[in-house]
Amino acid sequence: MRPVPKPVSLNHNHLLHRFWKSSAQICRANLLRVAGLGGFLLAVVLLQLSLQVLLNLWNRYFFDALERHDVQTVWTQAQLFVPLAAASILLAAASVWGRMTTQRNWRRMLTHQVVERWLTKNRFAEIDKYVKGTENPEYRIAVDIRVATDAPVDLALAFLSSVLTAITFFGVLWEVGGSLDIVLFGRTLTIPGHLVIGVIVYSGTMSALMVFVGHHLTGVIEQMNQSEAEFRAAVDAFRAEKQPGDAADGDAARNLWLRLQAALLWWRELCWQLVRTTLVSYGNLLLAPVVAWFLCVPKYLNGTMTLGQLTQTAAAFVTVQGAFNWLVDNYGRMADWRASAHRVATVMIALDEAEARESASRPRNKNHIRNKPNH
Amino acid sequence: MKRIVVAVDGSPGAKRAIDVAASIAQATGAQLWILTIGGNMGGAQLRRLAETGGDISEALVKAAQKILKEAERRARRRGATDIKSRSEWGDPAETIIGVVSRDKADMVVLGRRGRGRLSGLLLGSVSQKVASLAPCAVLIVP
Repeated sequence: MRPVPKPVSLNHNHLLHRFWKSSAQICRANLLRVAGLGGFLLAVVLLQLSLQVLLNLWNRYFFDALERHDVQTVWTQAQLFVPLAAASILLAAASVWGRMTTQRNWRRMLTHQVVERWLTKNRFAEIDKYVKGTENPEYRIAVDIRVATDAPVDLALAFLSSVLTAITFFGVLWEVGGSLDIVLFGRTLTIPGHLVIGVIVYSGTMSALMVFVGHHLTGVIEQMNQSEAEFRAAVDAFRAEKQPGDAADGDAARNLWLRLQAALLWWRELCWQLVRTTLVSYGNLLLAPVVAWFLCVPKYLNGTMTLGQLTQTAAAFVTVQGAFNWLVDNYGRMADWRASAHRVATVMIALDEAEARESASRPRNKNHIRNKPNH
Repeated sequence: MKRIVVAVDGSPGAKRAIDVAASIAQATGAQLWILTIGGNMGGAQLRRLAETGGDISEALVKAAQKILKEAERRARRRGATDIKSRSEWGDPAETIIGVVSRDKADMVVLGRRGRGRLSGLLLGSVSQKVASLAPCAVLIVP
């Protein structure tokens, strides 16, 4: 009799814990390589940040020279831009190499681990008997492992870069932006670090707006990915059941159309979710530089800020608010990753179950004999 | 007339189609087959499913069953006695044509406008396609 599939716990934490457990095993087994690649990526992030600061300073000196009509300094700054740009381009290329090498290695090792377990003792023909929700394991191994190992590297690096960028450019905003004096009812009110306050208020508002508008996005993307996987499984099941010349009806055909309808409905909802989030993100794209200029202009007009400082602080403002938007920018990617990690973890749990059943069905006396000398 | 198929989707047009099909079935003694195809779901329902992690396929099947039950109740009130109902999935027009061809229906009844008003305007309506391609009499209820 075919065993009844055991329902997998759909608990998010349980599935993610299972995924990270395998990844941690891989890390421990390849500690030197992981440390080497991690160190390389960290160095690239720090160098990119340093270059960002240098380019921000370059902005200031270049525009100050323009304001003074200082041809010699403009020419010197123009020449300085070449090595800065070249270093920036090289670092971008090095970052791509580092990220993709890390992702490729992680994917290779995790795929090897899963495939080896899947092929052992013909488990590929068995695992769907033990755990529900393991349809289409081929796709999970081929595609979901790639997505699940790609995104964390990119997201972690982007997060690290955002935090460091925000901290560094806060300093620029605090120092160069200085304080703003406002005369109210004959009294002068001084706002220290007004640009820092401005960027926190602006970014906080935009992030809150985005979270409000797009709080369903993660769930919708996750459901859509699940529906797509079920549709692929239904197509496979249809092909496996039908012979050439068979009528295209019956349960397999009905299931195929049902799964397609489900996937299409999620696509429609995703479209509306993206329309909403685009309104905020595109609005932010247009508004952020204008807000930065607007906050700096009073000091420029009263002569306490040079044109170079104005462009430098405006650029720093945009950089900091961009760093603050890490969550907003990566909403969709995180949802994709979560859905793929869940599906990979489901296969891992099914393999765990298969292994547990195999070891439970092994003859007991064999273990007994082997363990005897230890007693 | 032995078999009448009425296609429903829960819309007001479909309800009028059930009334007409049930009356004809009562008058002729024909069997009435109620058919629903596809299944739709509003944005609010989808977002609720996304929040709770519910199964959309199950929800679609339940929604289709609900439409069929309501349609069957309405048809019985209108005097039809021999009623069968079923749900199918796929392109509505092609599925209706497939069902009436396979099951040798004598007539298919459907509302002029279903739920997909905008997409119907853009892509051509289900009733127009069925009227052009069905191998039996087609009654479109305004």
